Amino acid sequence: MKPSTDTYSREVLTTTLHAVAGGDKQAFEQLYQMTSAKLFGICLGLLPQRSDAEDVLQDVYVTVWQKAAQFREGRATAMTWLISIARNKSIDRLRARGTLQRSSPIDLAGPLSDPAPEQPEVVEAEQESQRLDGCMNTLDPKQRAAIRVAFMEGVTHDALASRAGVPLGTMKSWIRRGLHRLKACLER
Amino acid sequence: MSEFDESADTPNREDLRLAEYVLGTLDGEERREVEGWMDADPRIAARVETWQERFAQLANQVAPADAPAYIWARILARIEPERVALESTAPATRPGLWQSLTLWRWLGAGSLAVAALVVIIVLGVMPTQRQHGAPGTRSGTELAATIRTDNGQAAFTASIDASGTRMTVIPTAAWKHSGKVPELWLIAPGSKTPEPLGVIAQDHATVMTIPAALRGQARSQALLAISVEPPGGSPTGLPTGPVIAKGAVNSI
Repeated sequence: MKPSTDTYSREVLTTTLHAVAGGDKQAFEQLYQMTSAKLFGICLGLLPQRSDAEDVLQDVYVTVWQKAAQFREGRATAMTWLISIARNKSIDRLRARGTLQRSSPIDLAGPLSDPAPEQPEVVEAEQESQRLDGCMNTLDPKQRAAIRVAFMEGVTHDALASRAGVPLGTMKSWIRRGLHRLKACLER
Repeated sequence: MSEFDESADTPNREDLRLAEYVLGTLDGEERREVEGWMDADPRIAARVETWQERFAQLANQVAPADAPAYIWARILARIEPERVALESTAPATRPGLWQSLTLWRWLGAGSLAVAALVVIIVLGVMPTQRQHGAPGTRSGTELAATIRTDNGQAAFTASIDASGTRMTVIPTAAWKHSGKVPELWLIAPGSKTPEPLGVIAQDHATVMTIPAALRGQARSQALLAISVEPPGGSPTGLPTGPVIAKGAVNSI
């Protein structure tokens, strides 16, 4: 079985990304092998049209090739840096598409806690990131559901509000309060 | 900590805006605004990174999905023109191999969207030589061919390095002959007899050493052809299946 992204350590990804920054094409191919399935999953999750996800994935790696030197390991890890590029490009594509956003209703009753992760998680930054799950569970279920759907689908406040059948102000407030509590919990 | 009060606490409001940016709820205009802040102030960019890391766990819950193999070929095609630009020994007015290959791969990749073609391109040799070659030396590719089917579709591209010893053959379309393999043949200029170069991979690049006896013939105006053969290749030394694609070698 092909190793998933999750089996690559933070250190390996960082080293590989630094090599890419130096123009090492072999390292670039390794990086693609290590991370493309994860990033493609993220693009597919955000973009309803598969062809968009494929286009964006190409853009992501072209950007990685060009801008790898800009990565500085600090607050965000190499994987988070890559994920952020994939998410930002996907969300921008989604905005450019306008009306093609998903429109399924959001069930704010939702499960009371987040589902267990489907697979072993990345070894890197494990303690830090696992705290998110715990903190998400301290949120009001509506806040948690809104934040989760927003993150997974990249939808605007407006679209979230109409899908949840609540006024825009209410949705904005849920999300802000949720984020505020999340931050307080994570900084504890 | 107390509930968030929207009416006060400006730094907190700003930070929540950054969180919304990372979360993905802002519209296009609002996103550009936050990106403007990030460009102007590294501290803001750092706070955005902090939020990205905070949400990393959610991102990791997204199920991975294997990207179609042609995506990698297209990525390579897009980054390689840069290498042409960096290649100081290549006259700018002459179309380079890389540009040509880029076009070919795009043509190939576009036509196989539904096919399970795997185009794993292993071109490490040439770029490495270019990068490390001394100024003025021409150690890169000198000869190339597009091997096309009768209807004009590029099936494979081939490139031969400057020493004439190493050839890289890349599939650019899906191989439709299941149970059979592609075999590459060289037909020297003026000759009618195909010389076997061996079975090549149908789903990724093949890098081969041209047999010493054929090196002089693998030159401009030679023909490359692909025949459909049983696994292991033609048992006779001549094509036993149909020749499905051919192309002339040209200097570049």
